[in-house]
Amino acid sequence: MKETLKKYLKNCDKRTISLLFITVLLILVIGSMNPKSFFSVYNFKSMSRQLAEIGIYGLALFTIVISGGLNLSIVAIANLSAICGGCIMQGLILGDVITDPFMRLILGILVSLTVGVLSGVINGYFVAGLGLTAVLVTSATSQLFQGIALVITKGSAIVGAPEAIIKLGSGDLWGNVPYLMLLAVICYGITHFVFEYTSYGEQCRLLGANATANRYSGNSNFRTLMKSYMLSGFFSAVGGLVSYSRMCALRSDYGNSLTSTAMLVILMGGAWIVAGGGKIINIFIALLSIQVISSGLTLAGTSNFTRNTIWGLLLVGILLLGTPQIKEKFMKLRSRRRQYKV
Amino acid sequence: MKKLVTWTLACCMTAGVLAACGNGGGETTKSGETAAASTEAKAESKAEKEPEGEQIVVATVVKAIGSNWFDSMDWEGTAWAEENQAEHHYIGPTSMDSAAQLQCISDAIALQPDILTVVPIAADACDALLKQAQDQGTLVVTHEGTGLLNNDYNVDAFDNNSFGENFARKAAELLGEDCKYACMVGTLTTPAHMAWSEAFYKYANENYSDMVCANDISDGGIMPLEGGANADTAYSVTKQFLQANPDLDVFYVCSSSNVTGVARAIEELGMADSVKVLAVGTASGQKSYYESGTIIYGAFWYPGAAQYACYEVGKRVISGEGIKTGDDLGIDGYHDITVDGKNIYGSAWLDVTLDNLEEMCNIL
Repeated sequence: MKETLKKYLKNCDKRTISLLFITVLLILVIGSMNPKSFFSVYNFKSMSRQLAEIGIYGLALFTIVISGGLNLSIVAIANLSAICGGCIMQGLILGDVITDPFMRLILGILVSLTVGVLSGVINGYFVAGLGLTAVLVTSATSQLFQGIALVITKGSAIVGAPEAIIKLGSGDLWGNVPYLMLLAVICYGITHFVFEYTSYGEQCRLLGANATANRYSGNSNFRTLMKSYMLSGFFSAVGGLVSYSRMCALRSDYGNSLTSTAMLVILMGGAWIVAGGGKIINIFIALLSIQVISSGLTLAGTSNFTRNTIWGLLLVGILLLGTPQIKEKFMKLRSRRRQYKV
Repeated sequence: MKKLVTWTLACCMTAGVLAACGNGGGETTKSGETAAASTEAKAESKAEKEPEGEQIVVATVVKAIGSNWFDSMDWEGTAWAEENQAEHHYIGPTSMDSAAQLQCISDAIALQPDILTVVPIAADACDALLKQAQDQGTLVVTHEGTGLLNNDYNVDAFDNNSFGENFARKAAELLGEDCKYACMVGTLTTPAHMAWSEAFYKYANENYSDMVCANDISDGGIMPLEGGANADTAYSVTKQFLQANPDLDVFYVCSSSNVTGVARAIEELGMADSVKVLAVGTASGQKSYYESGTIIYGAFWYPGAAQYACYEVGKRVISGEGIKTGDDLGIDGYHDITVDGKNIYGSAWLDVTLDNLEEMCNIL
């Protein structure tokens, strides 16, 4: 039994184990700085709500990063789609036609997801169809989407949300499991399935690792990229709904800091270091550890600057250890030492 | 097979989190450290709620940490905490972003403080979270948060209306009753800034019929310029605005972080003789512009004192003492307060002109 377990662990992804180890260590160390507040029910609920928001934006970024691009417009898409959907839910648009609040809610969710996917199509067309650089395109479309959102809301916030959305943001299943956490786990499950068990996921990874090879393998780069951007748009829209549920208000300029946090999460999860690589499970664990650092340090009474510094140190450390050149040097050092010993 | 292991481990993790949540009932004690810790925490916090308890926990969430303006709230908050043997937490995002502030507020609520002070960036976005704070028994006292629904009290340094009206009077006094003015706020969703601009506009309309407003007017109310979270955005907004309105006489800038940007833009365009600034914000941060004459008059309040007052209000409400007009909160500017429903005003307003610049720079 012990040996089989050892064997499993040996075959297991090294990053997963090290990330798990880091997370558990972080929980123990940071938690012990203010155990009274950290190990409280409210804190775990609040942490899981916060990580759901960041985590879903992380997924929106992940689907693009894994295929070798970058999407800077996720937050803008999220805000735009949530505003479109939210206006319908509150009856500001089509309020006379649809009067049933339940129908409004369903239609609002559908509209916001559709807006998200359509925004993804626009991004995808520019990147995959016209062959423009992803960073440039998405930062430009980000301005575009934010502009449209600004026009719809006229710069101010639209306050209020239907009961179901408020419940999503602050309610718990069986009194203890936040709905947002469930939503995040479901989204991660779907993405895990897509990128581990479907041919699209495989093509995405290949495209990220080597676009030319993907084309010569008989796959259409255009179609793969298009799907990636649509999926990214979809998750952005889900993220938008999550943000909406958390603050019960719609704003065009909400959450500019979320993109960088989401990047941090997927980078730590290993999506960037090996092109086309990155496992969903790793990203989820990275998400946990990032949130533990963030909330834990705040509860321990340190300022957010400290938190940013620690995030930065973690990133630099992970990048350094993951870079092939540094890895090679390490290997060389080790082999040399061995030679001396011999 | 390795997938199986990783997933099992992940499930264990989630189960751990859920198990920790599962102790919400209080009575159901499950094995494990977390359970013990959380029940302990409950017992402790209960003990603290009693009036004779040793230590109360107070927390404040500001718009952004790292500037003197908000850090002064930490200084005075610490001072108050020392006087009252309280545990004080100072929390805030590193840049002025509403999403980051919401996360700070959730963390602050997780501290289960007795008094929570919030200076909201976007008031409407904070309301839903503050409800959770109130539900767990935290007393919410906001600053610059008029119009919030889920707060117990809002402490401001002065009545927002008279503050805005005062600037309109100063504009008429210093630049003539026929001047052309423009207002700039940090964001259109900052309630205090909007209240000052509206008061300015109304007072000017009613009392000086020749005063011209260069801002857009919609639905009979003023739509001020948006200067954004930092001086750089304000700088470019001002440059564009002055190109469109070269005959402007005076800029009323509500956000302390915008003032330097506006003044720099005016000086760079060579319009410092014709366009003047009425500023809100620290004297020391804008000293050079007072000296060069671009800012002719300014007013501000010491946010640290407001913080002290917020905590004091919280303490008195918790102890059952209550709060009423005429009370003395024990810090300069709040010796004779006005209570209007949920809103509490002090008289903590400080005027800055070239004459008393040095003195004001010493305050902040």
